[in-house]
Amino acid sequence: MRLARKLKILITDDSKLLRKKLRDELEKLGCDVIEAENGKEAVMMDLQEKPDGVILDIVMPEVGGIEALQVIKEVNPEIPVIMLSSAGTSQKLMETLKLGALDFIQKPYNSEQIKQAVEKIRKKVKANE
Amino acid sequence: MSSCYFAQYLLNAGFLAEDQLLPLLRQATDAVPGTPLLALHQGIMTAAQIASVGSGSDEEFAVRAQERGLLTKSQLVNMHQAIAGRDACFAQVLLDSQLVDYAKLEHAFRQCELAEPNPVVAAVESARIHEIGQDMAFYGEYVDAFFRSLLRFMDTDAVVVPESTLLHIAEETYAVSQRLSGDLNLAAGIMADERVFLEMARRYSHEDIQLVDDLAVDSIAEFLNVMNGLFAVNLSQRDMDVDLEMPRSACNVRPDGSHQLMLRVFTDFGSFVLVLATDEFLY
Repeated sequence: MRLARKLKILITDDSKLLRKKLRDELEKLGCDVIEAENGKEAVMMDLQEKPDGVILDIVMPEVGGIEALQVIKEVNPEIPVIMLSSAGTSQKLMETLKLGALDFIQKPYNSEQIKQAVEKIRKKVKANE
Repeated sequence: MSSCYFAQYLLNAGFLAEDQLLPLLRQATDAVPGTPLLALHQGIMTAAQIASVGSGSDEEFAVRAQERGLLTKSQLVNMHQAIAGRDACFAQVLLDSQLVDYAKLEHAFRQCELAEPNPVVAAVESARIHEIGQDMAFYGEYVDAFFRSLLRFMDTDAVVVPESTLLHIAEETYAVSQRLSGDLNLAAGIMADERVFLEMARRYSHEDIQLVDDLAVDSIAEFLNVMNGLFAVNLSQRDMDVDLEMPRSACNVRPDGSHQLMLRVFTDFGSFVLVLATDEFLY
């Protein structure tokens, strides 16, 4: 059974271009989108806005993605977090999965990868409800 | 070998001069290789056989070549159905400009195929002015990867001119750089005048960017970031671990890095300077 309501997804990336493109993709998939520019903002948005899922870059100013992932998972262990980063080395992949990330997408992404990521978030949210 | 090396090979070998690059790269974007060139490029006919068939329209050439048993109908159909390589398009422009004939092209195609290291790496190697350090050994490989990213994300061939006469920095210059650190320390940056900077931003982002604003700078930074990420993944497959640092941007600066190499890169939309160093050079 599909989730009846819209998913609220938090995009966290310092790149304005990336946020714009990703917002378009997610809105086409029927998601509500909120944005953060760095890890610090992401943690605050996670607490205040309570998104269903987070898409998180790694290389960001102030607080990076890995640190933000740690904090977000401490506060809300069940929230699905998808890493979307150019820094897709096997070491980073292992590190983020160990910290509880649901998946890792290497930039440049394609629409199919985003669609699959949303499906994963949807399934996780459904399982948590 | 990738078809994107051909123009670089011709420059390295002295067939072309720096001032010919820009117009030729521009013309090559619209070039359609003719039947004789496709036959040569695909190894179906030699330059001598093409000469023996004689000149004329593509159709006339095809008919005469088939009559002489040098070309079959299915070969003709197949070679026109295949997507022409970028080297073939560039070669057609050289032929149209009467800079080469089929015999020279035949030789050049063969030599380019055999070139080791590849022509881009060879050009960068020839430009290194400092002693070869461990990190500098990756400059050639980096530029090669950078050119592949230009082709993939900005749809342009590129040629690096090791000792360019255009290495001075334009008065109004925009620069973006990013450093990789860890098992390899390498900072790479793009410096371009407004027109070229904007065109690069538009091509990467597919957005209608008319001003050098946050989105324009961000587009170039994201291009570098994605390119460097792919490079880092490639290094990690060789057990080299590197981290990507935050991209930096600046306007009207003179880069000042260690083991710095400034390379003029020509594309079909203009030229820019690619800066490589072993530490950050934008302050």
